[in-house]
Parts: sequence; structure tokens; C-alpha cells
Amino acid sequence: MPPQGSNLRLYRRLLLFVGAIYLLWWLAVRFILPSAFNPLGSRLAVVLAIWCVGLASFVSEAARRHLTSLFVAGLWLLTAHYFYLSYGNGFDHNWVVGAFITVSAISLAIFSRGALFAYSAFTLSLSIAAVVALPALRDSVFLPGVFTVLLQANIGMQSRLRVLKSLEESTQRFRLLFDSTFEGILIHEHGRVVQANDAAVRLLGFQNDELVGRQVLDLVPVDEHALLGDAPDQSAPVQVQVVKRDASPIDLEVRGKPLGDGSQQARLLNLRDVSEEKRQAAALKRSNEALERSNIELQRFAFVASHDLQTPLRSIGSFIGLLQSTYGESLDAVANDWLGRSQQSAKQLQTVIHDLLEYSQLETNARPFSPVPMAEVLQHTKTLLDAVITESKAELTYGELPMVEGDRSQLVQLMLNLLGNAIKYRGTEPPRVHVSAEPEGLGWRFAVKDNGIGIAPKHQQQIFEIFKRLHAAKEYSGTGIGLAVCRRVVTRHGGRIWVESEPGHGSTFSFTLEKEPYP
Amino acid sequence: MSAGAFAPGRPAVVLLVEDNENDVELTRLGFLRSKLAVDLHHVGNGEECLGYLRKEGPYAKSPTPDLILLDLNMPRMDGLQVLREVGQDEALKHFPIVVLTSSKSDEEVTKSYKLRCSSYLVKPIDFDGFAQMIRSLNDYWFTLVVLPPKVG
Repeated sequence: MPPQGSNLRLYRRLLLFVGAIYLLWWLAVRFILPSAFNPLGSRLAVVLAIWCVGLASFVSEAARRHLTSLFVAGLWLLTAHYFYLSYGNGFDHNWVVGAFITVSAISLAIFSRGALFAYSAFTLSLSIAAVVALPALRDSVFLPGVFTVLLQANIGMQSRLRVLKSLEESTQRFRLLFDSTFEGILIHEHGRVVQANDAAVRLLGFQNDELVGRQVLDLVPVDEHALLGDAPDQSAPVQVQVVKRDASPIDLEVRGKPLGDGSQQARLLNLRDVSEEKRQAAALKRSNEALERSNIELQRFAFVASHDLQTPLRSIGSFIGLLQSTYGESLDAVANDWLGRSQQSAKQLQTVIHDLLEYSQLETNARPFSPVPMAEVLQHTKTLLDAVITESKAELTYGELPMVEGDRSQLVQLMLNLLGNAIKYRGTEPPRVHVSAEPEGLGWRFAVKDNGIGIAPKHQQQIFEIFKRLHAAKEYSGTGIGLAVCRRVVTRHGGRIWVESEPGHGSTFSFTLEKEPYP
Repeated sequence: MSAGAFAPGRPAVVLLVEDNENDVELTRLGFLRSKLAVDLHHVGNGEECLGYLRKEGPYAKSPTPDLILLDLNMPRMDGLQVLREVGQDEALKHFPIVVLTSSKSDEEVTKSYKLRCSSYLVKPIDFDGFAQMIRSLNDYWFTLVVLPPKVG
């Protein structure tokens, strides 16, 4: 793997440092051993070659890719040049010590075992060549000295490699983790990308490593301050539409954050693909709006239809009545019977329209919720049902009833329908109706229990549907809207309504309401 | 009959503002049955109603009404608009106006009273109810109530 990020920087620094030291060495020799063989030109050439490697790594991708080899090659060049200087000075003891220092220092700067082996072989052959060329060196410590230095460097390398290996493993593990996240991560320094994970590369439509070196703001056009500023904490998420490399748009949620404790220059950019979320939210919004529109239109339609039906119907009813009262005596019994039937039908239709109007206006006439004592609601309902109760000799009782949170007039409507039904669908005995309440979950469960005719289990679900009736009009009058109104009221109050019943043994209608939330 | 009640020695003039011919006929029959002589005039919408009250064009010679029966749902200018116009016109705002309509919606009742109608009546479904209502209307407006004196 080519050196990246901090590794790249380390190489550049080493190249600069080694070159500088080697140049200073020329100055030192110049002052300490003024008579020594110490040419400036060749030394300068070596140092420039080393520095050029560092400079090339800034501009050339190829140089960056082969930086390790170029670095080692520079060190070989330097070693060879030093041996040339030593040879020129006849390998007197100062230059021998200098050779030891050079070789051991350079060994320390090499990071791989292969490169160190090659360097050792190169240096040993240089040393052997020097010993062959200069017979005076044969009896000196030069060759064993070089050998010892290289042996030590190789032994040191073993332990350093172990550390490096575990470091590399953890780096790879990190890289794996970095690349496995679903969210894109860009690490940038001063606005330039130094690292990008697979997800970021994919999100922005690039190929591997193409992101490194690019300007962050070219890739993700967001408010510069929010993402690149020096703020120590993470920025609030920003949503932005980004044009991918293939010109297709993508919606990203972007968050910026300093890397680590903020002491480093690097900052992190987190990219999350929210295209699908945005699409879904927009679709949901659209369908909600359509639903709301059609709901309003439907309510309007029901209101207008039933309202406009009322006018001609009233005329029909009135003129039939007029006919009966004015000419009834001159008509025969059959004609009067027919007129009576017409009148009766008109009245029935009038009731349907009235109930339908009430049902369609449940939402439009809805009031905001407030605390309502159910005992008062029941008392009110009882007053409204006074005539029916007296006529049917009904006995209406109720236990202790709580406060609830709701729309008072709708709750009266609910109880009116339930109690009205309980009395209407009575058997042969006078109706007995009991209303009770019990806490359930976060609210209350109310029960309206009667001794009426009951409902067969197979019908218990459908009775809450609008216009669903179980009886002919002449058995029990009604429009089939009352329980639909009940269900709408209860649903609007966040509760549910159901019935338990056995034919001939009465019914119990239960519904739930939220508990009154105020103290 | 008390001193203030309606006794000018002539039939009371009622202006019926109603677009539905059936309801006009029913109202006419209702007054007929109430046995009280009423001079019933009829216009078909709000514009004509204002024209009548201001005695414009064909209404120049029409008698000034003692009471106005106003339907709400009408073409061109509806009852609520009439109430608004009359309320803003200094020359007309003394006319007692009874809203007579088929709508029982809370909203329309509230709006009508906010525009200062004198009462709000809902048309009953059958003729008996209708006739009864007209009788009560007569009893109340032309027997008990002191109406504003005719001006001009």
C-alpha cells in the first residue's frame, strides 16, 4: 500500500531532515578537518536528489505510489556517496566512525525488512570492496564494525516489525470498519480530503482513492463555516442536494466535526444518503394532502347533498299534508292510505338526511378538548331522553363516573345514541340500563349494559358501519347512522368501541376514553 | 290589544325573500290559514330584496314592509349578505328581519344573529308544522311586538 496521510508526511520530513543533516555534515568537516577531501558539488547533488524525491511526492501520483522505493534509493545513494568520501580520505579513523554512524542512522530510517536486508547486503559489499581496495583497512575494525552495526539494525528491526505488524493489523481493522459503515466519512485538512471511506466514494459516485486531494466544498456544497470552521463541537446536520460525478442528484445529510479532541487540524465530514427518506416523506405528504382534500370534499359533498335534498323533500311532505288536510274528506280510504304512506316515507327520509348531516358535520363542528365530567354528560343525556324514558318506563342508572378529556357536545351525542339504542331495542320487559366506568390502561373503560334483545355474534362487528341495520323499519325505526356516529366520536377521542352481547340476554357496549390529564 | 301592538287599521305588510316557489306557495297558504289579513309581497333573491327596500325601479310604488322573512340559501345574493347590507344602511337597519330557512347548522345560526337578525326560524317538514309556525309568527310579531313606526 502506498504511504498515505501521516505516513506520507513522515517520509517527507525524513527526506528533508536527512538531506539537511548531510549538508550540515559538509560544514562540520569543513571546520573540524579543513584539510580533508570534502567536495561540495557531489554532496549537494546527493542532497538535491533526496529532496527532489520529497518534492515529487507533492506533485506526482506515481512518486507518491513509489515513495518507499525512492526513499530507500535515496538512502543507498547517500551511503554510496559517503563511502566515496571515506575512500577519498583513505578511511582514516574519523571517517570510519562516521561510516558507522551513517550506516546505523540510515538503518533506523528504513521501515521494511526486505529493504533493510538489501541495504545490509549493499553496505557490506561496499565495505568489502573498500577493504579489498585499501589493504590498510584489512587489519582495522572497519569490516567487523559495519557487520555489527548492520546485525544490530536487523535485530532491532525484528522487534520494530512486530510492533509495526500489530499496528498494521489494527490499521487494517480500522480501515475495514471505516469502509464498512453505511454512512460516508470524509476526513479533510484545511478543506482538502485526506481520507474517504468506501461509502463516501460510492455516495459521491467516484472510484477508489479518487477523492483524496480534492476540495471538500467542490464535492459537498455546504456552508463553509458550519463544516470547516474551528467550532470544537459537531455542527448541526445540514441537508444538501449534491450532484454526483455522473451528474445524477443525491440528497445528503451532512455533519461536520473535529477529529479526536480537536487538537489536530483534521476534521471529519459525515455523509448520510437521505434521498429515499426525502422521497418517502414527500410521497407521504402528497398522499396525506390528497387524503385530506378528498376527506374535506366528501364531508362537503355529504353536507351539500343532504342539505339540498332537504328542500324538495320538505315541499313533498308539506304538499302531501296540505292535500290530506284540504281534500282528505273528499278522497276515499285507499287514496288517504296512499297519502299517509307517502307522508310516512317523506318523514323517514327526513330522518336519514338529518342523521347524515349530523354524521358529516362531526369533524367540522368538532371543538377542542377540555376536561369533561362524564356524570354531567349523562345527566344532560338523560334530560334529552326524558320523553322516551317516561314512555318506555325505562330505568336508567349509573355508577361513579370520572372526568375525561374530550369534546362535551360530541360525548353527549355518543351517550345519546348508546342510551337511545339501549331503550329502543328493548324486549318485552321495561328497559333497564346501567352505565359504569373502570380505569383501564391510561384511561377509562365505560360500559353501557342493557337488558334488551341483544345482538347475534356474527352481527357484532358490522353494526358500527354506516347504514348497517339489522331490523326492518317497521320493527325498529332508525337510519343506521347512530353507531357510526358513536364510533367516529370515540375514534376522535383516541379510544375504541365494541359490543358484547347474546341474543335475548341484553348487550353491553363498551368504549375507552383518555384519562383527564390535568390534576 | 295593548297600545303598542300593531293596529294601524290596515293589513300588515310582509316581504318574503325566497327563491323556492314551493316555499312561497306554502308561506302564502300558511298566512291564508292563519286568518289574519296580511299583505304578502315576494322577491326571489337578495338583490331584489334590497331593491324593494330602497324602492328602486319596479318597486317604487310597493308598500314599505312591517316585517321581512328572509331565506338564507338564495342565488346571486344570499340571506347573510342581505343582513350585512341592511345592517350597514342607516335607512334600512330598523327593519325587523326574521330568518326563515331549512338550515339548522350552528354556524349559520350564529352568523345570522351576529348580523343582528330578529329571530331565526327553521322551516318545519310538514304543512301542519308550517301553518303552526306562521300562526305563532303572526301572534308574536303583529300582536305582541311593538314594530318601528313607518318612516317616510
